[in-house]
Amino acid sequence: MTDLTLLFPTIFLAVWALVLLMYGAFGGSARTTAAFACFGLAMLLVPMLTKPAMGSAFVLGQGALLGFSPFTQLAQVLLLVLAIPVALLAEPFFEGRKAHRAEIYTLMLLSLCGMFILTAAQDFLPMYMGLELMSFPLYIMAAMLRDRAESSEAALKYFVLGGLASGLLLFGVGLVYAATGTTQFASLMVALGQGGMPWPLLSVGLALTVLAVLFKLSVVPFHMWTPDVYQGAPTPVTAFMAALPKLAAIVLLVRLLEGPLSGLQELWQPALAVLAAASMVVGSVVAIRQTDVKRLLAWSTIANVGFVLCGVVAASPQGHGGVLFYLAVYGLTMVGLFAVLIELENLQEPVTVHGLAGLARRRPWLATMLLMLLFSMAGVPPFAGFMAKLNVFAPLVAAGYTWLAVVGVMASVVAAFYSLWLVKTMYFDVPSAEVAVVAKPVQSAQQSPLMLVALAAVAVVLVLGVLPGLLSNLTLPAATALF
Amino acid sequence: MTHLPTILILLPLLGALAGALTYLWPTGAKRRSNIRTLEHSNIRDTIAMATTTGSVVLAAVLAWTVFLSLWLGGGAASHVDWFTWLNAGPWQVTFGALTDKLSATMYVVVATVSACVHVYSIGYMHEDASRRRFFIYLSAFTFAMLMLVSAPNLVQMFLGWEGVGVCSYLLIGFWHHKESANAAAMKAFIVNRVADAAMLVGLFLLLQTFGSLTYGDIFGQLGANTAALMNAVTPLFGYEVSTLSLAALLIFVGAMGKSAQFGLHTWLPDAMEGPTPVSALIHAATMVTAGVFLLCRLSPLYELTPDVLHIVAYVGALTAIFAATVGLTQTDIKRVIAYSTCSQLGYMFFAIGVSAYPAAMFHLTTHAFFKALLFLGAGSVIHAMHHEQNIFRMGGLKTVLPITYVCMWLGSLALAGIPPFAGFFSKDLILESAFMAPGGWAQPVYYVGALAAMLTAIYGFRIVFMAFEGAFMGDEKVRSHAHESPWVILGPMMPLAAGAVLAGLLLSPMGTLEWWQGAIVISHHHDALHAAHHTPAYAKYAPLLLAICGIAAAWYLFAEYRNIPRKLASVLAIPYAISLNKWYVDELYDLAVVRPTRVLAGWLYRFVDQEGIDGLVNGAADATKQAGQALRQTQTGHVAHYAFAMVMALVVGLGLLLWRVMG
Amino acid sequence: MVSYFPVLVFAALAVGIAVAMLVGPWLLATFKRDKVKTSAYECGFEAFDTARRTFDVRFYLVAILFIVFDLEVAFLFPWAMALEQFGWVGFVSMMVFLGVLTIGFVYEWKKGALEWE
Repeated sequence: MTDLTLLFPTIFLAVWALVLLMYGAFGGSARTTAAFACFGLAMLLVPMLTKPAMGSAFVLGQGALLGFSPFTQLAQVLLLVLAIPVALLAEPFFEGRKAHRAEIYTLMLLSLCGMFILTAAQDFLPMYMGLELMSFPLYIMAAMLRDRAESSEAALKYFVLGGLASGLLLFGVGLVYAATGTTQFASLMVALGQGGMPWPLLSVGLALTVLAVLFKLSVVPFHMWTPDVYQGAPTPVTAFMAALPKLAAIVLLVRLLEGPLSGLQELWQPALAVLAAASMVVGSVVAIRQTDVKRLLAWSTIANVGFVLCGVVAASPQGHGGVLFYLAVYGLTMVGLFAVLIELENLQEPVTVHGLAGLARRRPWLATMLLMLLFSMAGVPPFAGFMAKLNVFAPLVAAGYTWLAVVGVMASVVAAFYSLWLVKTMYFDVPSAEVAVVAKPVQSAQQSPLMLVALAAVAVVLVLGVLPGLLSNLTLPAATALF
Repeated sequence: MTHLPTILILLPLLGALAGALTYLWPTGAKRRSNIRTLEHSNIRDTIAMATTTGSVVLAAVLAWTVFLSLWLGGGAASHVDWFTWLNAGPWQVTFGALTDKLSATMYVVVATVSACVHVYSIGYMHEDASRRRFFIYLSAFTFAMLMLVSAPNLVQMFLGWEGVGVCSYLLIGFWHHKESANAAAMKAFIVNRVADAAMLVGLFLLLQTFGSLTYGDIFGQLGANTAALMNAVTPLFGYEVSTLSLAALLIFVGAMGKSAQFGLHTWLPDAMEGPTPVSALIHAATMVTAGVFLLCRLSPLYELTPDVLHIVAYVGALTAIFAATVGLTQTDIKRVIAYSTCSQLGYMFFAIGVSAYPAAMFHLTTHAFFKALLFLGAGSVIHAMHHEQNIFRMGGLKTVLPITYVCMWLGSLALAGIPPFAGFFSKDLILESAFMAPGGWAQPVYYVGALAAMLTAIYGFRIVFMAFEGAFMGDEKVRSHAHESPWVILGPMMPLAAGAVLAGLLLSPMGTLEWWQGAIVISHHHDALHAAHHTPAYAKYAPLLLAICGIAAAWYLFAEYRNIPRKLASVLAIPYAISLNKWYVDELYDLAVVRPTRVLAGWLYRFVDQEGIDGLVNGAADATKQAGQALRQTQTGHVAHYAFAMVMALVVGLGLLLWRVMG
Repeated sequence: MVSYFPVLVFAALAVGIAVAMLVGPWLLATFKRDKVKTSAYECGFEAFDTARRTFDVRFYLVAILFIVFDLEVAFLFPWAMALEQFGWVGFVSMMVFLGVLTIGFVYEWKKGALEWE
């Protein structure tokens, strides 16, 4: 038997998802469903913060299927903290659109449940299960706006390529099992701990499993789905995809690399360094030629994943702590940005780069919030984005990867360009005639939680920029516990 | 009692902050109009004026209390530590207040003049819409100046030094809608920066040599290992230079900037663009004397560097005579007084140069009173004449402005050094010390000083006679509106007038070394001050005689026969032109420094910045953009292409991995 | 050989039922042939046609539903055989699984996915 209190958050998410599903099916309104979803998530934070669970669940032989460490625990808390504002974004967006509005919360919670399993997986089988449970709701959510072609296209592309990645993952797991006779991380660590290079069968298997994770992270060259999917998916879903699965996947990656693969650091460290550099450069460089803001943010995500990988490459407590810090800050910034974008869409503002021209005059508050969030993205002090970049680049230099840090800084210069370009467009450009006609001042129909989310994001970004210790005092010990 | 200095230093700061807080007061319905009129800022202005003026007046009262208790009450020098600002291993900087005779004297000078100027400004600035800002700046300046003089170390001193510089900049450019005011403010700031750069290097040298910038530490080490320190050398352009001399010289250069000594004086006359109360407080009585104060404060250092002292003496003498000659021909009433300030500061420096620091401080004090009085008197005239500053458009004002007239007389008599007025005692002491400096090396300085004394009398009374005597030469309309200033303007001039008359007599003990109770150190090798008691009679009375002749000449030329000066000017065309054009120093700087710099800057801008650096930067940016465009083309939108890219990357990656693992 | 006796019984039963179902209608039913009735039965599609034509998505929905319950049955058989070894944990696990399936089914029902029109 296993201690079910360890699994309580995961089980709670699944049960709550089904409750919401039934509530919606038996005529509950989408708005109350949203309220219940957020309430459930917030309630879940209480036991997770007050009684952090540590230990293993489903112990089999040398290892277990799931394991809970401070790193996992903090990652799950961060996931919850990010999920609440995203859940708040959905209703203001879907209201008045043709979609199954209540079901989105079930999907979000199920995906979150998958992420919880993913962050705790100690075996390739729960890892696969978590990955699929995380991804399937994402595919469906991407297709939420059924009568919009882009939405379906995004979902299909995501599904097909995700299926390809899952297939490769299963193939990899099969090879690992063939080579070692185990799927457990702990046994694998023992098998790999004998030193020397692993034999080809095993190394190919391991590479394929890591690859599947890199696909979810949209690391170059497995990134190509990202812009299409982000652009096509409904905006709150994009926010969800940008903020949460990245965190879950990177936590898994870190746990894989520092767990069973820790003996192979000389293999994966240079490889990841190259991929990180490629992501940063490609993401930043392509972003500057985008005209659609959501697509631009997709490319920016690719670049940001590159920055995060820098912390992974450092392979030190500081580096992995920086990874969590970065992803928390980045996720919140993204959620805030998408909140503002949804508000703009609701106000029938064109959400293209040129459509933002003169926004500062039309909607000074929205423009100000966008400005602060973009500054944070660009890594301008005193916003948190600066501390986040500092927290990954500093350990990188300490680890001897100065060249990667230099590439990263140069890429962030390019990244700063498009952030500031948007700011410049908002504040200094004159709107073209058609934009001026389209963007007539429409007042928001009701008090929506969008502004609340955006304001909260701005506030956190400012506070963490000035007092980064509030978060890094949590991330660093959590990452130290990995070693 | 020990905290009185702290309180008196903080009072002006609190006043300024309280005044600044009034800006948070919502302006209400009239907020829409950007043009602030007098009416709707009245209450806030009154509050700001009350807090600033009140706090500075209180500070002045406390300053006198501190000063008198030190002097007459037999109190001892005190030192209060406030907080440690910097703690860098062995080096600590602790802010605090060092209150000895030297700083107490400065408290009195600064706070008294500042209080008078604050009250005076209530009347003088009453028509100005942004007078609130003016008062806040004035109080902030007072605070910075008090920080400067109370500093127990050179770091806090430098903070105050820069603080007064900033306030001076803000106040010179107070009427920022006037282009000339902006230019003058920038000029003052830039010239001072040149000097401050030298001073900073000097401070760094001291820090390197002594490992501390606290006065006590520096003086203690100077006393303990004098010989070793005097032999210390610093390499400079391949030569070995005495470290102490170099540091002393560099700090003196800094002092030259702030105190407008020849070469770095060009900003002071232009600074007259600021409102007249500012000229009285900052550019006559207090800030410009900071250099003198600093050198006196560092007397133990300068006593060990006689070569630098000689330079100080010569620079001071040169400034004294230079400014006096220029003052003869200027027509703007404030500029004449500004050059007079420059000249008087020259006296103070050559007093320092002959090691007569007490005489310099004595003159500093008396000068503060009579020069502030002259400026405020000039302000009263300008106020009455509706901002007419040209003395050639005045005349016969004594009937209109009788009280101002008397004040100007008193101030000018003190300036000219006629007994028993204040300037006589201090200036006499300076000249006697110069004459009697051991070895007689400073006698040329004495002669220059005596000559300058005569010129001082001439230009000083030129103002009085041109403005108040004879016939009116300006616009009749202006004269018919001219009126004596209200008592809020005249009142603050009264204490200053009393100072101009009595300060010399009452404060004459300042002229002795003993009075300073160790705050000033003079090496017995060059104690000119003691020797000054034995000055021969001819040297003693010659400057007085010259001054009286000067006044008589001024009467003759500028009250009785006003056409003579014009003839003189045409006969002595070349000297006249030199004087009128301020020895062409500004033109020389323009030619030697400003123009070459501009040409170089233009060249650098065009070829290095625009073509070189911008070309590189823009080129890199364009390349990045094009790369983005190219990479964007790979994003075809076809799932098959994406999958193909993934698989190809996979194949390449696995290939590399296998090569690595198997190889 | 005795242990294979049940297999023989199963085989005999299967054959018997199949034969009965084929023979019964032939003996009891009446025959009225037409073109549609005599063509091969293929879920409402033309039997011999291009494979790439569009078809009603409702077929797909029903097929998916079928597969879910098909798999459920595939799970239930081995579970039923080994239930004695699983004990209460196994029992509760399967109940959870069935519960989840039921919830899905209820949802479908409420959403009207089972109504053809």
